[in-house]
Amino acid sequence: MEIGVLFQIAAVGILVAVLNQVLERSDRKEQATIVTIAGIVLVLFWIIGYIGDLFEQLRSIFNL
Amino acid sequence: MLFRVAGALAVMIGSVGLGLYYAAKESFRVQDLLEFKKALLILSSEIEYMRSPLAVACANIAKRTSLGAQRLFGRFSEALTGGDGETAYQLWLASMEKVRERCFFAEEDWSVIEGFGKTLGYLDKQMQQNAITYAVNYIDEKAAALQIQSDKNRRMYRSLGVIGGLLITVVLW
Repeated sequence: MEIGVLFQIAAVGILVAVLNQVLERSDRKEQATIVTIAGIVLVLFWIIGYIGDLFEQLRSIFNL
Repeated sequence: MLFRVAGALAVMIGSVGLGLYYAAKESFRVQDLLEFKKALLILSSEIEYMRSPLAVACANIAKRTSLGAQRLFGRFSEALTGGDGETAYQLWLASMEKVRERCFFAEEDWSVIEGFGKTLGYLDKQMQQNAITYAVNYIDEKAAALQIQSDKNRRMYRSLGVIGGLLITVVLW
């Protein structure tokens, strides 16, 4: 796993949190929620392959 | 690597520019509205004291105003001078369509401007004054509300431009 992905996820997390605060302070709570969900979905797309690999490795370790 | 940095810079410049444009757009709308109010007050005086024909009054307004009001009344004056049988309302609508792209009025503003055009050259002096008063009252209310709202929105659009640019850069990196 590349370490760069971790930094990218951290950066997206920080930026989405700031964006969420900015939108909430401007009384745009709906957009803030959409941005948060979009951030979660984006990060999930990035890590879904790694989660699949993790399950495969666990299965091979425990001979399941 | 160089291309990446150049691309990131282009994205940042684009998104910050977009943020600044949206931040400024509301104040452009307020300026357009206030200028239109000025035009209406001049028209009111032209009707009340000068008793000028509509085409002359509109040409005078175009000379004394700027931004959207200048374009709209300038076009309308030209249309009235060169018109061939259309009503003032039809010419007003045609002038509105011609300047629509270059003004910052919102849809609700355009509907009030259109409503004002319906009464142009219709019935007596008092009717014209009433229509002007109605439009001026609308502009006063709208401009006051927009002033309060625009301070908050300006900061938000600026922040959105910067943070959105950073987010896109991180995602595409």
